[in-house]
Amino acid sequence: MSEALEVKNLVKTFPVGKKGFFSKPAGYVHAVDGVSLAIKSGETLGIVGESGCGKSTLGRVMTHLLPATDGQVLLNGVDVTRAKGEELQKLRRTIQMIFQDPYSSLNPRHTVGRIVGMPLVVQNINPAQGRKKRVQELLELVGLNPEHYNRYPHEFSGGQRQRIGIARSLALEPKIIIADEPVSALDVSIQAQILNLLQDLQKQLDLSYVFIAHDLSVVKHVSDRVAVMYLGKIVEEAGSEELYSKPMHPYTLALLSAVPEPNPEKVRQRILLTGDVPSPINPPSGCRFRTRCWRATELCATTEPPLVQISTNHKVACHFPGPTPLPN
Amino acid sequence: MSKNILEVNNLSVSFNTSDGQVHAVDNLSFNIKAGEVLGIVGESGSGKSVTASAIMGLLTSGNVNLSGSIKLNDFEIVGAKDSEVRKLRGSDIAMVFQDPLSSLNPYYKIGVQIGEAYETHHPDASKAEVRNKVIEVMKKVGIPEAERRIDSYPHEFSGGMRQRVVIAIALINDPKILIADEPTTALDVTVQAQILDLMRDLQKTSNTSIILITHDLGVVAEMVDRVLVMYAGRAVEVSDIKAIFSAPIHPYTKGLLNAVRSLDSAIREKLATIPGTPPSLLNIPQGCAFNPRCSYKQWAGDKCLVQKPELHEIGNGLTACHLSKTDIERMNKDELPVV
Repeated sequence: MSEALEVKNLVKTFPVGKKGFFSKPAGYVHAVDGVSLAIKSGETLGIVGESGCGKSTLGRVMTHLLPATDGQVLLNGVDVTRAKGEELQKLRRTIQMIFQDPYSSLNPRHTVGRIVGMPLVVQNINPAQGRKKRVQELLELVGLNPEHYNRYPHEFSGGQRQRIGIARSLALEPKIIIADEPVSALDVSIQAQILNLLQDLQKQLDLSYVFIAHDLSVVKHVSDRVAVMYLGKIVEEAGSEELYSKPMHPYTLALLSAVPEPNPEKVRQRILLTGDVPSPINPPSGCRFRTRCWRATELCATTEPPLVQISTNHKVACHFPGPTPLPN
Repeated sequence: MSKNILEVNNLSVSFNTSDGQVHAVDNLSFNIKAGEVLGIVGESGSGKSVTASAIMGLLTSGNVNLSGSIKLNDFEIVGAKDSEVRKLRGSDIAMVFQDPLSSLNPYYKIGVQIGEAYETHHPDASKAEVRNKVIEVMKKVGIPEAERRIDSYPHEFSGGMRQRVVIAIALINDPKILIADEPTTALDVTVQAQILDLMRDLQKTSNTSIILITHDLGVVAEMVDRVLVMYAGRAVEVSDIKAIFSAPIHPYTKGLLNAVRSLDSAIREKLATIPGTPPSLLNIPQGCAFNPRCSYKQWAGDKCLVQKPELHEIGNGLTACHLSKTDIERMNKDELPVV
């Protein structure tokens, strides 16, 4: 399998606290801070983390919806972050995005046909069978009635709207789709429908997914590999089976133990993390998780643990990695 | 058996809108005992939150049609004067809302907002007394440095801490019933675990009854004693927590449980789904509202299409399904063929 997308040392900061036009910003939010990832073709990479960990920013920088501060995003060897004009427009055909909220991501004044066909218009593509026919094919592909071409978004339910968003992302026949919390706004019974649709489309069209979510059980369902993010950094990355059965980073352990399980008979040891995620403007020195970690020592405050390979399919960024939870 | 603290009988709520009448709750009956945690589960539009508003006596505007009975310790809330309900609201029944960001006023210090709930029901309390009470309840809900934080504004708190403030407001008058409407949906997983833990501890120490409204079956499994499943404004199943997860007695509950992912399930496993979407409340299907999505309806004949099923006992639970007891047992053994 070849690498469809490669991210190298990606950094994205946002300036905050700028007082006047010429003044320097008071600080920077380090949303994504040196992230490296590779996605193979046909593979699904899950990215999990809590709010503010930078997972959505990462997705947006990968699709060049936001410019990167530093680092590279390589798509077939071409750096997306430096691409401009026509070259960038061509690159956009290979990488598309599905958004979280099916209510705000569709223009209420446009018909479904116009929404789904818009990428074709923007990219000036005229399919042999005509744009309307192509859009109707796409609607059918995602399980919508092609006759709904002239309807407006408000006539559809949340799940159907998400299907419209998916159809739009497929219009340019991309190779990679970044899905940012694609089911979190939907009801449980509808979530399952959309997750199954995404899996079917992947097989049918040989797509690679980057699946961004906060819900660990959703990520487990769709991903071949999972990366866990905390405050702009990847703290652990492993094959799904490995990550869920042998988590090594204390944050992953805590995250997994906090998921409410739909099984009243199951007794689990829960790791309760104290406090909240620190501010990404002033992240803690050394290891960023140390302020909430029960394994932290002085070493963690002074030296940042690098993301190191501990087995063929498992990387972790911790000075004291281990599977046994030992919180005091 | 302890006494029912709240009894809801034949509650129906509909709203007059420009599109027609929206039937949000239809003939709902349930009760809750002292110290019990009842979960109300359902998808969006199933009537869970409207039920909560009705119990709080908040449905008073002109376009609401409310009928039935809601009795709190023999006090009838439906049709009571607003001044009477006001005495209960915030003292005997309190509510925790979903979004801690929008349920606090950004202009007031949190001490003022927590204290207001106490002052309203204790008009004679002195300032110092209110302040002490506020600090006490802040400590109880686990807000560190309560003496200092009492003078902070909501924006100085994180999401989890804000939700603790909202819980403090609800608990300051030691309510008999706490209604928590999706209390952790807006929170991160690790913070959600903290808040659920807090609610469980508080419930144990104070013996408050909790009505927990949620769509998350994982949260339900961890928190509640008994579950009421709602669909399109009606109760479809009421069962004990263990029974509902091991042997649900309504096809909708079964479908919902199958569609839920758990950390135990296999990687990249195909999920079972419930076909179709929940109905519009403007246009609820004839007969059983779930019939267009039900995989078992052929086993009950045409009844499902014409007759609304009423709640009746099967085993230890209640179900509103036309399927016979044997068919439901077969459904749970996956022996009942689906269409």
